[in-house]
Amino acid sequence: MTRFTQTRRGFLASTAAAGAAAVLPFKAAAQSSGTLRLRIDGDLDVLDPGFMTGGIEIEAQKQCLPFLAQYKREGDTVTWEPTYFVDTLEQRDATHIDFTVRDGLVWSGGYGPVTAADVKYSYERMTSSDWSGYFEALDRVDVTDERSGTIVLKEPFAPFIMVTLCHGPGAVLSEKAMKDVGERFTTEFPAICGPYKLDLTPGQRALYTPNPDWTGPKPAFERVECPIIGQVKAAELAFEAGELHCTEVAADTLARYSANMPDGAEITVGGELQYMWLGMNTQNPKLADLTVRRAIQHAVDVDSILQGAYSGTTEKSYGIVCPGLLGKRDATKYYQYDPQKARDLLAEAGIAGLELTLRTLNTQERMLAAQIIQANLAGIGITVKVLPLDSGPFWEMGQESKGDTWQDLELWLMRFGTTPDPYEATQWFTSDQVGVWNWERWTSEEYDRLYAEGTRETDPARREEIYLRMQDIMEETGAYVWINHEPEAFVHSSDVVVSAAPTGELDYRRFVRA
Amino acid sequence: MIYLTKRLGLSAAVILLVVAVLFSLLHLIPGDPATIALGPRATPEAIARYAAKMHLDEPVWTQFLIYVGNALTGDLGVDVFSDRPVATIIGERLGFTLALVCAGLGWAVLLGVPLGCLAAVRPNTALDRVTGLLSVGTIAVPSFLVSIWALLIFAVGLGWLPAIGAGEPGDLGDQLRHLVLPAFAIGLSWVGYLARMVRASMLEVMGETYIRSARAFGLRPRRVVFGYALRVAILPTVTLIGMGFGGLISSTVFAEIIFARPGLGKLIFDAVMARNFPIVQGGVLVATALYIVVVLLSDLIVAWLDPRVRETL
Amino acid sequence: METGLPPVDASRLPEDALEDTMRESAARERREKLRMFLTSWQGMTGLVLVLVFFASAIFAPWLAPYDPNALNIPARLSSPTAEHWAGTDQLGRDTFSRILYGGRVALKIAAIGVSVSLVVGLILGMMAGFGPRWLDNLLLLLFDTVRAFPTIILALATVALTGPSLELVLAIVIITSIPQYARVARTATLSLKSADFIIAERSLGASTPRILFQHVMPNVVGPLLILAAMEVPVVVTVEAGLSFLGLGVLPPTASWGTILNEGYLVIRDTPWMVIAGGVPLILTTLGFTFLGEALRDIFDPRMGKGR
Repeated sequence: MTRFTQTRRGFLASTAAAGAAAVLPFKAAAQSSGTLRLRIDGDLDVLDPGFMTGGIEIEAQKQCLPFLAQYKREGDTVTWEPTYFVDTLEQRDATHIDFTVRDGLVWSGGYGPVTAADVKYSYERMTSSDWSGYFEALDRVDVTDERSGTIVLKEPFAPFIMVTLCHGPGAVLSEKAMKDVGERFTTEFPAICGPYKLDLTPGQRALYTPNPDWTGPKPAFERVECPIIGQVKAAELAFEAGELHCTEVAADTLARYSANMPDGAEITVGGELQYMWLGMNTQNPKLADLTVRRAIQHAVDVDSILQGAYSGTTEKSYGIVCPGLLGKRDATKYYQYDPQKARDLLAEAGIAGLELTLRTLNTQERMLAAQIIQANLAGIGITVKVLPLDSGPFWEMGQESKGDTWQDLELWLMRFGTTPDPYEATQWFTSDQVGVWNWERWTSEEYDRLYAEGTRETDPARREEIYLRMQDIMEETGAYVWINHEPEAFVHSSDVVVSAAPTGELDYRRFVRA
Repeated sequence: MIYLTKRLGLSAAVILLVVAVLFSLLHLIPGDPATIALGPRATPEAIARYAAKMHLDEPVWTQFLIYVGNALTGDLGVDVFSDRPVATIIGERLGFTLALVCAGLGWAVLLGVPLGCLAAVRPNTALDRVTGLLSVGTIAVPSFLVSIWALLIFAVGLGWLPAIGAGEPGDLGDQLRHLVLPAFAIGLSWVGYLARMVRASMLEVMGETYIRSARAFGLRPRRVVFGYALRVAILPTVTLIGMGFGGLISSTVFAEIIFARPGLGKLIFDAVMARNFPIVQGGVLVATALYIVVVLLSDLIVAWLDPRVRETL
Repeated sequence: METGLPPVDASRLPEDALEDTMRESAARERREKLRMFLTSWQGMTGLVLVLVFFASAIFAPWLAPYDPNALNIPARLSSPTAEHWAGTDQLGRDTFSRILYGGRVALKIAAIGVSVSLVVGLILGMMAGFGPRWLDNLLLLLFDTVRAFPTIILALATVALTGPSLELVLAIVIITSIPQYARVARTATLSLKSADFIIAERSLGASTPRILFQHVMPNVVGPLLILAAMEVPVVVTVEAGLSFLGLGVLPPTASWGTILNEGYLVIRDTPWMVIAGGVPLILTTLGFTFLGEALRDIFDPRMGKGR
């Protein structure tokens, strides 16, 4: 099995150099139909940018709603550019972003042209939504005339365009249409403005067909068909059978393809900005003692997880800031893999016969990782019960607003995705996130202060210092064992060029034929 | 007529009891039924709506009657996440499962019944022995194992047939291609079952006087076997199919999951994983009612074909 | 089978007289049946497979070359080799050892599941057969209700509420098989109810429990044991199926179903895991089916219409 070099550049080089001989029969999907076939992993439940889960729902918003900015890839770096929907999008100064919506854009359903007032409505609405974190810096949107306006920030906040406007929360809704549906919607957009309209067959597929009201440039594919395939493995089989043009692949398949690429297939990596860790609830009585947590930190063999669960396709992690970003750590400070030290620490804490529950998503890699951790901890005398969960219950278990599971949380495997700025990842671990996303439930005044400072600071050197220090604080709590940065790899037929955001979503309208 | 009434009455009573079991499952678990039914993801509004709809403030007995009344009128509640009626969601998937069941059972009948007849006509020949071996062989492999191995061999290894899904909507040929492997998997053990059953009852029937006299009168053997003997010998087979239908439904759950095919089984499984209880409850009720109806139908067919049965029960 | 009518002799209790005459002919019959069994290839194949199943499960700790949960990541996903007879899984665990330990889970489920449902089914079946008409009807209705649930569907419904566990698999297996035993026990009891020796017993004032346990039960247990042999593969398959779906045993416990599940996920990397996980399941099914059918053909020819 191929071992990848640990940089993304090296990884891409190794896949490009991979041989063309296929182990398995592979037929490339026909391209003449004008239909792009992609896998989605589940139902689109809430399309509303304010109350969505994210992921494929953001993919749908990108097809059917206007955005002001979009990601742009230049070699290995990701920046942003204005979208087709705007004539101009300019940062006037640190707190003002001017925009002018393109002339001639119309909402479906007779809701008239897209206006600056729609932008104002959409963004100011977001400040009181589930995704308000992305709009914390927003003060207001000023409307200058029908199509122009200014986004006004409370304080300088450099990543606003990259983090907020390019991502799902930056979607613009029709104010009139929203008022007509009572300002909330789930599976049907009140009005759309984009190249595609969306038809959902729950449990089966999402179908994108041309939007008759769309006046802008036509996308390369007339139709996009997205069958719902829950299991990654099933999706891979469908791809190999020529039934899909593109799908995400699991780590072990990525390793296999990279060693032996099927004919007419290529791999594109997106969603590099993810970080996974083993979390511990510092308020759980069993884990309240820092020495016990420190022992667990020393007991987990992360290299085995990288090999055993991820087939060596991912980069080892030392914190929440992802590779390529300011403030990425390159070593741990308070622990390294040392089972003897771990046993000594447990003895020092006077703990014997500890039994813990490790909760994880029921995906293949995480189940394998969980079993490695289970074996590692068994080695120092801790009995671990692995509890696999489906995505619904998993994502809610630490949230106080969603039930009582947060009280019973002990250990869990968690992965967050982030945007290309270190601030985004750090926001989830502040004191006021305890019981929301800070499931480890620790608080640090210094961390909170540094977080506020980091968003205002413009000097890169100082920012780097801040984010490094913040990760030191996190690691020192003993509540984290950093595991990896797992890219989302997409296998696709060579005649399709895939457009994947650094956050992992695909943008179908930007797919082109090679 | 009395038989029909009694049989229908019994089935109705069983369905009612099944509904009662499903109702009480939710109430046996400690905690607030609304929270259990809707899961931890439910919003307070959803819980309030559910509590109002299920009349949770009424006594349990009234709640039960309301639940039964709703279920009997086709109201199976509302999906937690999408707010769509459970009955609609099940309706969308049921067709796929029925198609799979019919295809799986269909090829098994078309192959298994003639095999059994041939084996019975020529007992203790090589053909009979091969049929016997085939029967035992196919019965011994659990259907979900057949699904996995069929996937391994025909889809992954040889690439002859599509691995997953139900095919392009509207493209019948494509849908049929997608049906082949799952139908093969759920039907395989039935070939063995049916061949054995038909052979045994054929042997019994062939020994009876009227068949022997038919043969003595010089009727063509094929006419005797398929025209007379099979008609009688098929009766226990019809009963067997009815009884085995439950196992067939269990097999479709696996086939739908392994081949990522939409259907009732996969719907229930996904709902279990997502703790979407209204769908689980509705899906289980429909699957069970389907089984009861099939058993009832098979009993009625047997009674219609064989007047003797009507006397018993 | 001619045992004759029990002589009504006031000096001896009827059952003693019956036992004397029966003992003699029964011994002869037993020898004859044993001979028939030993010469039937089906029965012997079944017996050997069943013994292998029991032995491999019971002696797994001594037979297994490796600790079934020991990780060996460098050796992951190996094909069968001299070191790993059935290859290894994603974490480098020895598949052969895991199959042996998986047999223990299957044996545990089969042993507990079959024995509990047999005993409960026997008692309920005798109650239905011997009791008043209303009790019979009520029990029959209950059996029909339980049987109305397809097994896996019932399992899914309960897992949705309680979460996966081995105990739950056991409970499902027991609940769904009780009606099978009860029905057989009921039919056998009904046919005995009007037998002369039972009527004689009753006229002598024997209590109902005494009649049931001393006279009815010995005659009912035989067919139930044959049924039990045929039910073992069903039970083992239900466990494997639920574990395959991730609704049975929890990791890292090895079960044939979890081996199949893990193998399904790596099916394009290596076919060995789904093969290795499936073979013992088939052999066990074959073994118990052969044994059960051979026993049935010998002891109760009427029950078997098949071969």
